Amino acid sequence: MKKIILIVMISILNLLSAQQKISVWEKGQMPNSKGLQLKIEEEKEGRITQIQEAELAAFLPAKEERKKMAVIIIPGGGYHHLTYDLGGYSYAKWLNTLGISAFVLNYRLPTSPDLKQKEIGPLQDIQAAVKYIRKHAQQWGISPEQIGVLGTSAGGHLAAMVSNISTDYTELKGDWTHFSTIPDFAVLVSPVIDLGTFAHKGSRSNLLGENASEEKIKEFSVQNKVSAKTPPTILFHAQNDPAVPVMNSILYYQAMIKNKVKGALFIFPEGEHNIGISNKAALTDN
Amino acid sequence: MKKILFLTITFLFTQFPAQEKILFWPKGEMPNSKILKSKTQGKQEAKEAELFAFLPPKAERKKMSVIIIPGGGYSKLTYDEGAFQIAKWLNTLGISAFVLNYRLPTSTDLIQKETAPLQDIQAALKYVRKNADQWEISPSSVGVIGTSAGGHLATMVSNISKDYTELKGDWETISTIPDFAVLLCPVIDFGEFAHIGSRNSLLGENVSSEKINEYSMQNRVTEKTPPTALFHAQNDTAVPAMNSILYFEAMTKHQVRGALFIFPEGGHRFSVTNKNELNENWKKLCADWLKSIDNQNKK
Repeated sequence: MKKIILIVMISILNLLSAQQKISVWEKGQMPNSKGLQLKIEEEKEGRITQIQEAELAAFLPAKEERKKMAVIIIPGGGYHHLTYDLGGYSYAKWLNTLGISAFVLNYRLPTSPDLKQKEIGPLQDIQAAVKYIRKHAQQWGISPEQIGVLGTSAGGHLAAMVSNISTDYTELKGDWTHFSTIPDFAVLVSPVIDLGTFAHKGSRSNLLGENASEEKIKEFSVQNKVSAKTPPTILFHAQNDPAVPVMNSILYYQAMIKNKVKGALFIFPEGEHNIGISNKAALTDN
Repeated sequence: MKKILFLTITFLFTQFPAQEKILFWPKGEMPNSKILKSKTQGKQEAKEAELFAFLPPKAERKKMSVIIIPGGGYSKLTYDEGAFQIAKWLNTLGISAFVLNYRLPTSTDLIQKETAPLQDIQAALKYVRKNADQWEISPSSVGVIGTSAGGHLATMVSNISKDYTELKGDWETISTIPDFAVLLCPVIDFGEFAHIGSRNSLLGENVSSEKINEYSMQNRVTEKTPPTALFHAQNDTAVPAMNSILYFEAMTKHQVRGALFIFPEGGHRFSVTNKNELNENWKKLCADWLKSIDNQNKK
């Protein structure tokens, strides 16, 4: 009897938990996998270094307060780990207070031994995630045409990739092909953009390897990918960011202006590489 | 009796106006004026640069003050909407404000037209610092706010270390460089992204590329440039947002501290009342930035 109560309680807790975990890929459809069995590795609290498959954590506002808009949050971590709490859950909770549904994406890292072609693993996962949310939008009462992305640091690089790369790398068939992989808007926080002069070296070597060719660097420097079709984008950066130079955001915004993409750029004097939901500097907290 | 009362009231009004008009050039010392130089005064009076002082109540007054430089493409001064309104708003933050009406390069009284606005703002800075005690403000916390072409003049005075005022005596030791600058949709570049009207008014129609480089203020930024915050709208069709971006890039290169805020909409206008909800934030951002500058001064 006690056991039954316990089981019931656990299932209730699962049902009512603040966030719900969703597998992005249907069983057996995840591309670019060698089929290895990997453990989830968390090197320290809030910092995952390895996952088996892409996963979304859904954060939904109360039905009465829920708007049509939703955002997929792409955590950073230099393409080496996922800061899913600080760069993910924290933003999700804040968006919920605005009535916006949020989904935190834990994507396969290019450092995973399971990937056949490492540099497209993260892109495949975010593309499939955008499709997944659009496909299931109705069930959450959100609009499939108001799905944005919010990326921090290397997650900003991935957000810019999915904003600009029109090739569908998901290999999904059937009715999945109806859904666009391009988000409706993007928010970039201290994003990695350039992989050349102003590169965050760690992100580059994790994504492209130590000796990336000039061509590869140019291809993955996402300011070069901006076109008139890039979705509206807002960028935030701190001028004193020692990890990802502020020029990353400036180069992307300049490309947006050139291609008449609507958006905004906010650069604060302080905040370093830590613009988050609660900030030390009152100005940056805006 | 009635007349006396009337006179008294008039007198009170003149004593306590919201703003006080100051002729800040010492009498007869305004340089670069044909009339003053020819000494044929009396027949003709030279139009002088002026400051309008807006002071918060003493109990709320901070040490910080700002000289507001109105825009108008160097051919007119949009002092009411652009400047007086901002001055009143600054007063609500406890910051003293002085609106500068500078001589325009289009004035026929000028001997060398492109230096007159700079001479006026340089002298205004000296004047406010010299008289800081009387207003109980600090001579080392005097900033500038410039809108549009006024932003160009604000960056000129921020970066040109040569003193063009020709003022002598105890005036000489007072610096002409402001302690900080706020630029609202500023004219910066006189090349690719120029506001042609401003350039023509300041430098004339057929200007050499050397002169263009010299007056494109992103080229004048150094590590000595004071901390600067820039605000622009992406859809500004008069002065492209690239003007602010180029200046901020130069600041970052020279490790000048500052902030850059570009809003998607708003056109060529930042004022105290905005139609656009997002743009309303500029005041909060600007106030918080000024506060952060103030805190640094106290450290």
